[in-house]
Amino acid sequence: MGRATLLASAVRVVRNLRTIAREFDDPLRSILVGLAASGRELEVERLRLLKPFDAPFRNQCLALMMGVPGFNVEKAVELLPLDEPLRTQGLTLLASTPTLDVQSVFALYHFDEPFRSQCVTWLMKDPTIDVAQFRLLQPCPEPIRQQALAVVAGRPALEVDAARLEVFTHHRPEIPGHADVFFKDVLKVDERLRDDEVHLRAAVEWLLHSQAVTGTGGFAAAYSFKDGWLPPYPETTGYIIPTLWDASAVLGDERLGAAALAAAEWELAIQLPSGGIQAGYWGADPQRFWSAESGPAAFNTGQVVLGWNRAYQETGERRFLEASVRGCRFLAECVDEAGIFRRGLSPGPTNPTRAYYTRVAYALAWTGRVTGEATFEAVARRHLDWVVQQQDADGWFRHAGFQDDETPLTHTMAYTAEGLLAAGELLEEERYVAASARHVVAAAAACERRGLFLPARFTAGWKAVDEFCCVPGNAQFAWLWCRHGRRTGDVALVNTGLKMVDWLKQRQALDNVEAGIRGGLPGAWPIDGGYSIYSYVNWAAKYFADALVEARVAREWLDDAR
Amino acid sequence: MPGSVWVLGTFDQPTGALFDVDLMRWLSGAGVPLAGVVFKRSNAAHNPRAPEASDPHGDGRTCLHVRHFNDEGTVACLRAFAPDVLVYAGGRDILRRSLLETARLGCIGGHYGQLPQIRGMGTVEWSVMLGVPPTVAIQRISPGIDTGDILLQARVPLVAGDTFTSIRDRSYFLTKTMLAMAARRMLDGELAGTPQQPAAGRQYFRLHPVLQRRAERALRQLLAEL
Repeated sequence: MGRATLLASAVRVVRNLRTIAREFDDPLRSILVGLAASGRELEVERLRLLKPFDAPFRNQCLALMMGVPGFNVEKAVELLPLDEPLRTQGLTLLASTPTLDVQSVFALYHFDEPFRSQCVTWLMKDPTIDVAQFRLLQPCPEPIRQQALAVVAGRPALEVDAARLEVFTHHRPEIPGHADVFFKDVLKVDERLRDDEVHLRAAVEWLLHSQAVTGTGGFAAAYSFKDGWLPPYPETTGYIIPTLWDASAVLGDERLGAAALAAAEWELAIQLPSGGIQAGYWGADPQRFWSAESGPAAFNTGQVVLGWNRAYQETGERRFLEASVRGCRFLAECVDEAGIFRRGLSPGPTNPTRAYYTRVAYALAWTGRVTGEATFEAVARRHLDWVVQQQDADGWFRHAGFQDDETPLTHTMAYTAEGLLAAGELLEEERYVAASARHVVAAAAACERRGLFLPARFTAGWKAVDEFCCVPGNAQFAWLWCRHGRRTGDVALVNTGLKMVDWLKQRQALDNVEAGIRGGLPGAWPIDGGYSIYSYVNWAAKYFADALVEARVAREWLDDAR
Repeated sequence: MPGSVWVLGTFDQPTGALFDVDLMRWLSGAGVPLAGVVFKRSNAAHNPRAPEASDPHGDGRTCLHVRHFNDEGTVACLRAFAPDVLVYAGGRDILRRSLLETARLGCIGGHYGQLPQIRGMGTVEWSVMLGVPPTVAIQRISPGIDTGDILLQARVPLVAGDTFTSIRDRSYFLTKTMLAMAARRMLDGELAGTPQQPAAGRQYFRLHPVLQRRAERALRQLLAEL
């Protein structure tokens, strides 16, 4: 160092010391004297800002001024009124982000710990985050709040719908895995697409688990976010039976055949003296949709007959066929002369006239063909003929919904088409198949025109009612599109079916920590959409598995087997 | 001037260069009196709230920069210019009736598929897969999807080594030239168009990868038979 430089430095130190001695009191004066004497560059003008600070905060600021070039002490002053530890947190934020909007730190003032610290951590990563978003999350219970924070903070542009969040808090957000589903749906995040077999295995594993939890042979109706596993559901257990045998053939997994057999035997055990199968769940419904007093229901009986018929086919055991005959005798009494099911109507749905009972007609027709009971086939044809008459020129079916308001769910619309197709093929009655085809082709167009979005409900003329999907309906139509397309050589229809299978794969969480979610499919998408909300229903898993099996055949048909 | 033709399109060229894009040159080459261009930028942030008109060359040809083609302001401006024909340069816009009706003879646009059979998206692939010759059609655009009157159609020639990309490139070239021809003949009163029956065709959609591979196999087979 040259003599002139040395002199200038000494003069600056002396001047600083004089200023410090004149303007500052102890203990700040002692600290500054020490710093000045050791030759540190001190900007006395900025140091004056520290004078009103209490000792801890002053020392923190001093340390930052010495250690962090460009530390914004002017903004630090604004933090002074805050209580600890927020003040220190704000100071830390300021050190890392000199441009910090101090108001965002003030916004955290009323937050409780550890939420506030979590917010600070996110702000340190991204100081531009709008803290107003955090304020919406503040009242939520843990751990949902922390999970929500991660989602919101990771996407500053996301607008959190406080009303949706509030509803979610009533569906056990603290259960690991629940929030993952909710936020993925809010954000429209897709699950990964994998090979068909991976998704099929996951779906049937979910079904096996849903059977195991009941300890009965029946499949739990659903995993509900609110109530956990629901009681076994006789109706859907019936139609899951064929699914498991089909999947067993594809996957070579003998457990699936055994599970199907156990389900068929359980259905035998609960068959009512009338031959019918009860409405609702087997056991009390915690959600009280189904009443405890459940008489025989025609639709449920028909679905179980389909399961028993398949069990008879697979095992050759006549007890299953005999049960089907008893069930069909009950069913034959439910249909009036016009072909409308008048008795045995399930008490949940309110529609007095139901076109979606075509699946029951198919069960009657099948049993009639196997046993030679002409009455069963005649009754089936009577109903199917009536349903065909309910079709409009654009493929729309009247009376195809649970409710009497002509806004059917895709779930029951697809039921209608499934029954017509299966019965038409069995009876070699082209009218039924053609009616089914008209319906599914129109549904495909309605879905594609909306960018492969299939609204949960439609009205006549294929006008959409909802902005959410009924996931089982999507899966059913995926199956129908592939099947009809293959049947008629309509590759465009198969195309829509395969795309819908991919869409469904993206709804299946393969890595969720909750067994009730992992591998299953929800009733609605998004999960709070409006049909079986916050539930993973067994019929969604069943129809997804069916669609995957059919998609595999469709790929082979397209000469593109993987 | 025997008529006025306006072009509608999404262009990112400088305003002064809009009349140099290929479609404009084809139109000029066909003797079509080009009165103006209604344009928007592909980046929506670069579009004005209200239509902005300019005459960059000082020759009376107008550049109308808009936010959306269907906006009331756009429609009102265009109506004031009373065009004879609108030429849609292409894209995914849905053009509403109010806009289409601003031109005396309607709005024409190109489509890569034989009408009325092949409407919608992925039409070159669907054509090849379904055994329909790849075709370029010029239609008078209607509010439906590819359901307007058919004005001109021409098969797209195929050559060995073609891919879907090269067929689309050729279709692009054909479309522009045919749009120019159609506009000229409409102004001359020589082209009325053939109405389509809505039920005579089908709207196709994006292909699943399995179908895309099938289409590529079909194309290879088709080219092998040339």
